[in-house]
Amino acid sequence: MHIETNNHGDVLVVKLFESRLDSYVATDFRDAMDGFISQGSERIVLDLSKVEFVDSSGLGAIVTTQKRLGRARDLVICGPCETVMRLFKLARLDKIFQIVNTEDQALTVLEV
Amino acid sequence: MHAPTEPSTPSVQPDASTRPPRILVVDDAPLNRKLLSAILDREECQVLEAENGERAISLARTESPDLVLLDIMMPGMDGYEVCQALQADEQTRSIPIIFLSALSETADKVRGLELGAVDYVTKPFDRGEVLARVRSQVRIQRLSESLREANRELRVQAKTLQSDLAAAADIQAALIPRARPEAKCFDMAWRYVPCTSIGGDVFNLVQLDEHRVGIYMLDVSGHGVPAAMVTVSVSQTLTPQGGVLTDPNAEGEQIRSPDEVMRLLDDEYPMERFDKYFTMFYMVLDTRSGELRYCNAAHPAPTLRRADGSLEYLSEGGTIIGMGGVMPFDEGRVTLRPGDRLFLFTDGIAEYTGDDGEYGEERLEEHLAAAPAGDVQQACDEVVDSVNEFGNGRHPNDDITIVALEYRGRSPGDPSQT
Repeated sequence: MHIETNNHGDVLVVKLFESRLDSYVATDFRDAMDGFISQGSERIVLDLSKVEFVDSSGLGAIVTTQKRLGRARDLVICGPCETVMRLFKLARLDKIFQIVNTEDQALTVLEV
Repeated sequence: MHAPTEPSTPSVQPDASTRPPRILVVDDAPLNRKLLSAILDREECQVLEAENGERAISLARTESPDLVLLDIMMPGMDGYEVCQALQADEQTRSIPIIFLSALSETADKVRGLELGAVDYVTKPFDRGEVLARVRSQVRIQRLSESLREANRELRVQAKTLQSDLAAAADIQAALIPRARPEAKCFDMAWRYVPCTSIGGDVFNLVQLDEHRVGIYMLDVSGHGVPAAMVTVSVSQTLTPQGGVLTDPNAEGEQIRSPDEVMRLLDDEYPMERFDKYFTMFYMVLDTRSGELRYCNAAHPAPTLRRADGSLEYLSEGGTIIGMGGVMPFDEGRVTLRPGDRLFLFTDGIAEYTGDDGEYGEERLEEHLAAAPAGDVQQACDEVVDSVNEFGNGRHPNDDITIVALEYRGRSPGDPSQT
């Protein structure tokens, strides 16, 4: 799994370089996110702009990450494509997650 | 060390990699056998000797040597015939054979190799050459043996897993209705196509009281065994005795409202519990009045096709089950009239991907809208057939479930029927 991270103040920006966040990648992804949280990251921007498809396992991994962070407001998702956004909407998670178009907007939301 | 005189040792040696290699030397000339035995003895090989082809075949069967050194020119059966016989026998087929002969013509070597021999040594023997060829063949033989053993174990394990899966599939098949319900006020049919032998989709209907039925469909995230096991657990919870669909201690109304059922499940199945969530649709249908109360927890919205052909979608509800109450679950209400049809399905249909992309919600909707009146089973079959046709028979990558229900209404003069 290819993932890249950047720190902006206390916010960790995680960019996933996988076209599919599905059952093959979900466990690794969840473990990586778990690792960031265990290492002290409390606010995370998840950049999904390179992801073209998320299945139920992938969605589960994102939800787990959000729940591990504790407060829903501490996870901001940016750049989901139309297909991924459709999934968020179907699961009504668009009402729970903060979802924006760009990384800059995400950082603004988190007031960095 | 020379050939043991006691009867054969077991053909499968548990310590095959540590015991000395056992080598069968076949030559009609006693001097040659003696010479080879002397060479091999120093390598700490166990040497078995045979002076003709018949004896060689019998020893190969009973002693399972690691290697056969086989002379070609022998009275009676010659080496080629012995080689063919050993190759033809299941029990001796895997024993490697090195031909020994004064013949040094290429054609003879080729013939020997074509018959299945692994190597060739020419007389007079060079000690170093014999040992080098024997060592390398014994090493290969040992490796092949351990591979064969590993393969055997894997096959046994795969077989066990297969039969476990088949048993699990049987258990799961018991979670959905056995047969079409014999209800007078409505008709119901379905098709269920798991993507592996077991899946993460499940649906059922539960008689809640005299005239009300509960119908649910859920789709657990992921698929295969873990998802299937969650469907078993949730199905147990959703039995009439499970304590969720009804509250036997309640005064007055004991049947829980669909949104309340979702709240209880959301409590009972937090994502952290099994690392799974599920989408679900649950409805309570009053079969006498057609009144339908439902809650949709992020499940693909069931399509209600009215008798006049218009379409409605049952989308009131909330998010996926397992989020731990981050959002309220709302209840939706609609009233069925005779001739109305309700279709419940999982996302495996719209998201089914063939060579031409996704099957898609639009295609599904077109099918449901166009479905002719008549048998509801036929309506389900047509959707699944259309998915199969779209994918050119390619097996689905997610479980596919569709349930069709047609409301008939109460026939006059029978107030009690469901």
